Amino acid sequence: MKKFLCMLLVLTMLAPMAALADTPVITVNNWSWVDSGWAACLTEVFDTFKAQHGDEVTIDLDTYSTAYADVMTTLLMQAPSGTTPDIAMVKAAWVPQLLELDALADISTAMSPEVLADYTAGLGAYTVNGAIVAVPYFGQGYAMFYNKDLFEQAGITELPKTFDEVLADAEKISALGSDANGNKIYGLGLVNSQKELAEGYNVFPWLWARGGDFEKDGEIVLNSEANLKAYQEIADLYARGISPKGQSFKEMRNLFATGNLGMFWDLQSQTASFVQGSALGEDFISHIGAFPIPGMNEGDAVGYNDDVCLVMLKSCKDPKAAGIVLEYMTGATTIGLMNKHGKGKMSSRASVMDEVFKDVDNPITAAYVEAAKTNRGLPCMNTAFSQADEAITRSVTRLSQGEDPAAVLEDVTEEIKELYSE
Amino acid sequence: MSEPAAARDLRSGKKFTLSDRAFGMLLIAPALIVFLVVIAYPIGRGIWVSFCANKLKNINSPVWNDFKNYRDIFKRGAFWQYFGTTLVFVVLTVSIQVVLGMMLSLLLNSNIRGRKMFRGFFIIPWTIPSVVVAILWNWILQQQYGVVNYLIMRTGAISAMELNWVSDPALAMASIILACIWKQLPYMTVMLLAGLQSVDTGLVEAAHIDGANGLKSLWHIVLPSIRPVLVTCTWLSVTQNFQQFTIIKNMTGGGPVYATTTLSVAAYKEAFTSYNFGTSAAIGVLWMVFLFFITLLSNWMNDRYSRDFV
Repeated sequence: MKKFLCMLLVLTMLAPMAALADTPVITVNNWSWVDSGWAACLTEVFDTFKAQHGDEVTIDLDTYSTAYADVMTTLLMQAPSGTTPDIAMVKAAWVPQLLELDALADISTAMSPEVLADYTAGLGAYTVNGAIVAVPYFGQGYAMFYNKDLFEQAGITELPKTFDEVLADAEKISALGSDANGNKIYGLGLVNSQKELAEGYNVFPWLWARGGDFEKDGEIVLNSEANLKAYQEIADLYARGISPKGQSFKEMRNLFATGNLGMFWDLQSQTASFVQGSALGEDFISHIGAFPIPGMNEGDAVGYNDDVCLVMLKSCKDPKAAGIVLEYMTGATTIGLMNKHGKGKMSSRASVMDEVFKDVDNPITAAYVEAAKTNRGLPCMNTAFSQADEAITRSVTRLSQGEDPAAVLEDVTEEIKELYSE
Repeated sequence: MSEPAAARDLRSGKKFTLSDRAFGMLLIAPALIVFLVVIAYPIGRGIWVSFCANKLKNINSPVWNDFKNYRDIFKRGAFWQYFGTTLVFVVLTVSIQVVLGMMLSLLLNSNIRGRKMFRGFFIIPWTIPSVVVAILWNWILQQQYGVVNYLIMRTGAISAMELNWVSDPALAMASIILACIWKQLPYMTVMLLAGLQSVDTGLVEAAHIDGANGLKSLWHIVLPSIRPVLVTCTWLSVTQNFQQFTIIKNMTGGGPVYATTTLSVAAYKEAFTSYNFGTSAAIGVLWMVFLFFITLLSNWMNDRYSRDFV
């Protein structure tokens, strides 16, 4: 009798595992998991997936190995040996490198045509030889944060509507000098530490605001009159102390959080960093606002989206199961949960934006939703783009050191043209 | 039927023996295998890759391209800049470290109160991981909030917190040297202290009796006595600083522009930003060859000193 009961107990405990064995397992890497600020959001995202789709697919989430800075290197090492996850979260700028490695599978075999058609800008940028190699997971849009208190102290009563007004207001704020503790106040922050990715293309809004651009029809068009004007203004910004020099994104955020920076453009999700860095805590949010980065003329906007994409790697054995995960991760539930947790991520899918952001009462979110309508994508589908990003960062550092903007622009254009020709 | 020879030997009590040489090889075999797999093979493969075109497209199958990677490195000209930056960094870091290390070890070797406690506390920077050291020093040298700028401002040397330690080329080099010395000084001090404690005190006393002051006995008695330790520590410090990557990458990223881009940072950027593994390996090989010849020179000079003076 005892033996029979033991056997029954063992069978009862093992029986669910038989059901699990039938459910395909999809491995997903997600670098946000290592950030403690994202843990609650992602826990809810993946718990909700389990509740909705747990009988169809099991997600095996790689939560330990991929901090943001290591993702590309990790995938680089995994790809040749075929040990990549099934689905990876990557920056759009890394897709060309993964293509070079021949590591990406065609996502159109996994996701339904209806969902793929939902992408407002289409997926042309991520289609190579007829295969869709990546889909946008969420758009990281950039808009301008501003400090309401500094605006008030500088006598600025209206938000700037053009980039010229942004520069004029930055000068007024910088003229305030120092705060009560003797710390300098800066008007407009432009990151330039050379320690982080994405600092180079962070100057694109400035180029666009002056009518310039980085690339046009496949040609590098950096060395133009419009871009020269932008470079001269950047040099002037640093020379006159309106922006601090050599600051990384993190340091700039800290400066903004301590109330020593009037304006700078960044991601909406960084409001969490401001709260952490400010002595006011959560109250700091009521002292700041956001607006789309103004362009040359009133009504223009020059923000950009730094897309984060999902890719399906060739190591994936079950594209259909991966498709369920991909559609969920890019869908309204996930984006809605991210919005609920204050992550400020937008979607490139029309139905998702309509559903999640139809009634926005948070003014900062409203500004980012507004910016998302006009934000431009980055021309990142070239393996040389990440090197170009570093080259532009170095050129901005040279401007901060007082070098001639024309010479700097000429040098960086030649350098990038050579990179692209290779 | 006759029994086998081995069974006869066992019955008669004879033992199976290996020759001494074979037994020695057996004992070192595990270490040798680890050495071959972890050190020799990667070095060999790295040298081979340095002669190949190896990018993302053919990451698993490098294609031999003779000396093209080396020609490209020298044609670009940047290699000499990286090499010069590395030499400046290594010479300054090691020389300051040796001098300070010597001073501290002499102090810790003297009869000061609490010297055992000081020796214990003093080792702490060496135990801190390099990436933490880099972050720590980034904060200490931070322009707006860093304690160094604050103290300098309080002395009146500057009117505001305006020294940007990572954006100014000269200050950026100074900042990484400072951080590296802070981390490595305890090790140098401890090693020199060990050397000082092996100095024959009778010689020092004899020198004092003969009228030599502290400086003369240091120069003529102590330093020659600890010469082997001093040379070894200096050499270890040179090779360690040639390879220094973590602190430089995390403090300045090799910037501003290329002001602190050493060979290690350049090799990393070539591999993981440009994805040009062949060129990255070539940089590594060039610096390995340089260190190899410097080591040979150093060993020759040491041998000559030992022959002439010992």
